[in-house]
Amino acid sequence: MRNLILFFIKYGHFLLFIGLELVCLFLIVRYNRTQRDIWINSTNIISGNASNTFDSWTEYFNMKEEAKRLAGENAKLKEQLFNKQVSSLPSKDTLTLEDQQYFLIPAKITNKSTNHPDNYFTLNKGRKDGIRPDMGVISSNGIIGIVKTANEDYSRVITILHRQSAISVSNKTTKAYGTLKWNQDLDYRYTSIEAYPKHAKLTIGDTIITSGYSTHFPEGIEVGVVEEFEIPKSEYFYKIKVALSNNLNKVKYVYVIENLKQQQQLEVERADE
Amino acid sequence: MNNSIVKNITRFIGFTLIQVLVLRGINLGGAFNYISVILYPIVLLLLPLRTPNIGLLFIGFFLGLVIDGFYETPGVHAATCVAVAFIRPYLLELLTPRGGYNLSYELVPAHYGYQWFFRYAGIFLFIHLLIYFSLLLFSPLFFVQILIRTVVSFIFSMVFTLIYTRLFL
Repeated sequence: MRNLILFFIKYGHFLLFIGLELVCLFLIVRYNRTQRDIWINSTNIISGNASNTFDSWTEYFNMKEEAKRLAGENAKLKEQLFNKQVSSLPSKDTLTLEDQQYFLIPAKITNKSTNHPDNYFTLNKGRKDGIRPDMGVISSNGIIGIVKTANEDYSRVITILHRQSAISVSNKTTKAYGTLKWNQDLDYRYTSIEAYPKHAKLTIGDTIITSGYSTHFPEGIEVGVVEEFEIPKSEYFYKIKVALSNNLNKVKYVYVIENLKQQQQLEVERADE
Repeated sequence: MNNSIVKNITRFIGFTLIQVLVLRGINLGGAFNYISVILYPIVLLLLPLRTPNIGLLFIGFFLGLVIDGFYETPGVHAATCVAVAFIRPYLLELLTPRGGYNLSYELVPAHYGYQWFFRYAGIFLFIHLLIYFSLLLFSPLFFVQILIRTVVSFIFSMVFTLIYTRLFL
């Protein structure tokens, strides 16, 4: 308390000076036309700059939220793209709900492995968000795998880097198709194609896409490019090494594909057996 | 002591009236439009040495508000007077004469000499005018204009101060 009084004795007139000047400044800006205009203009410039700087900071902090939003938007766009392919009426520009066969659910990978013989991913979305077993999983760069199990909040994905994984793929130019199989090289950048017929043409650098001959993926999702191949003498099929377009080690955000007609297709296929 | 208070109050009223009734009306037009004769800071200039700092600030604020009332520039003169009232003790310290100040003396040429007085009044007035025109034009964009008006007005104000000093002090 004594210090406080001493402080005021020592600096009281300075504080009073500041206080009176602030009162005067308020009077000047409030009641003088020209000064007010100048004041408003200048403060606008300053506050404009300040808010710009502030915005760029908050932008950084909102990045996570923004990424989520963009993932949702991407899902919508990809949905439209896939559904356009299955749309029976080519002249139609807009899609109605009845046309829509594929829905995309954006998700984030919460756990993953890429260096085992059998690799799994765990996604942060589950049954609650509409994820069911047997749905396909892709990222913006290519395919990831297929959902194996899902509980309320999480789901487990068999990646294409898994011995059980077998996905129908085709050559983008020749349309010949084979099966994508994990070659167990333990190099997550490459995988292989089996059952690609010997008579079909193949060149190094050919783009491999999903064939659409399954209920998991729509046609035309990029898988990778042919890195190298050989023609074994005693077999009917090529031996192909594919460089994946998708870096599974790096990928963080994925989309789970819901195929509304999956059950119907499977039903009719089973009935035949 | 009482004599001093009466003197200062009279000076306050007298200079306020001269400033707002006579000097405010001076308008030479044309190139001389820059000139405004400001004489009332002499009231603050001649306040007794023993006036407390806080008292100086309040007197300055009040004087400025009264002048502002007539100049129709609320706050401009008041802010200027508060500023020079704040600076005054430091200025006096800076200009301490060889023998030091005598607390009971008035700050007039009769005690400290004309040279000292005009240095004191000159610096005081120049600071006053510089702050005044800065607040009046209110933007660094008008820097040159502020400077010109300050210098021109300073010359004329100093002439009037000289006349006043010769006649009354």
